[in-house]
Amino acid sequence: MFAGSSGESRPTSRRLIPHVLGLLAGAAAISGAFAAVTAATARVPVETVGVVALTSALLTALVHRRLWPQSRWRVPEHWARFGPRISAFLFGAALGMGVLTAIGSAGLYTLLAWGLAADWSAVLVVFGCFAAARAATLLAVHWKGGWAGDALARVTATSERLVVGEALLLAAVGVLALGV
Amino acid sequence: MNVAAATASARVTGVALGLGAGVVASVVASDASSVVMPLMCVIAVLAGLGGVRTD
Repeated sequence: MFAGSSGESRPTSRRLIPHVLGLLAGAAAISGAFAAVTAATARVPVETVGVVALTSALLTALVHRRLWPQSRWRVPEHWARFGPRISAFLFGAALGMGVLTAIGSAGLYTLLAWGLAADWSAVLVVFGCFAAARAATLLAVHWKGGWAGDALARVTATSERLVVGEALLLAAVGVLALGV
Repeated sequence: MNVAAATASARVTGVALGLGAGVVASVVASDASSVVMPLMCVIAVLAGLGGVRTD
C-alpha cells in the first residue's frame, strides 16, 4: 500500500479513499458475520470475554507476537490487476476484518469474543473503532508529508509504546467482565 | 537490564495494574457491564493502531 509498482512512496488519494472505505466495509462485514452466527446459535456469556481478555493480556505481556495464533495469509499481489481503486478497497476490507491477516495486537482476540457476546450494534461500534484507528495510521502517514518510511517508523514506535496500556486495559476488562 | 527485559517488565507491570484497576472498578461501578463497552472501544482503537506493526 505504501509502495506501488511504479515506485511511489506514498499512497495516492485515488487509493487512499477506497482503502479507508474498504476498512469500514471489512469492519461491517465481520460485525454482520457475528450477528449471523449469534442469531443462528446463541451469544456466549460475557464471562467468556473476561477469560479471553485476561488471556490476551498475558499474551501481550509474555508471548512474542510471532507465536500468537493468527492467519498466515497475506493480501495477494495479483489483486493489483483489479486496478488501484478496487485492489485498495479489497486490501482495506481484508485488513478491516482483522482476522484474515497477521495480528498486531492480542486485543483483537478480545474483540472477537466480544463479537460473540454482545448485541450487533455494540459489535459494529467496536469494530468501527478498530477500522477507524487502522485507517488513522495510514491517514497520518499520508498527511504528514515527507518520506512515508520515516512517518511510518514514528507511528510504529508510538504504537509499540502503547502496548503497556493495552496490557493494562485488557487485564482490567478481564476482571470487570468476570465480575470479580 | 536490556531493552527487551525492560519492555517485558513494563508489560507485566501493566497487566498487574490492570488487574488492580479492574477490581477497583468492579467494586466502585454500580453496573460493571456499562463500563466494559467504552473500554472495548479503547481496546479496539489500540488494536487498530497496533495493525501498523503488521501492515
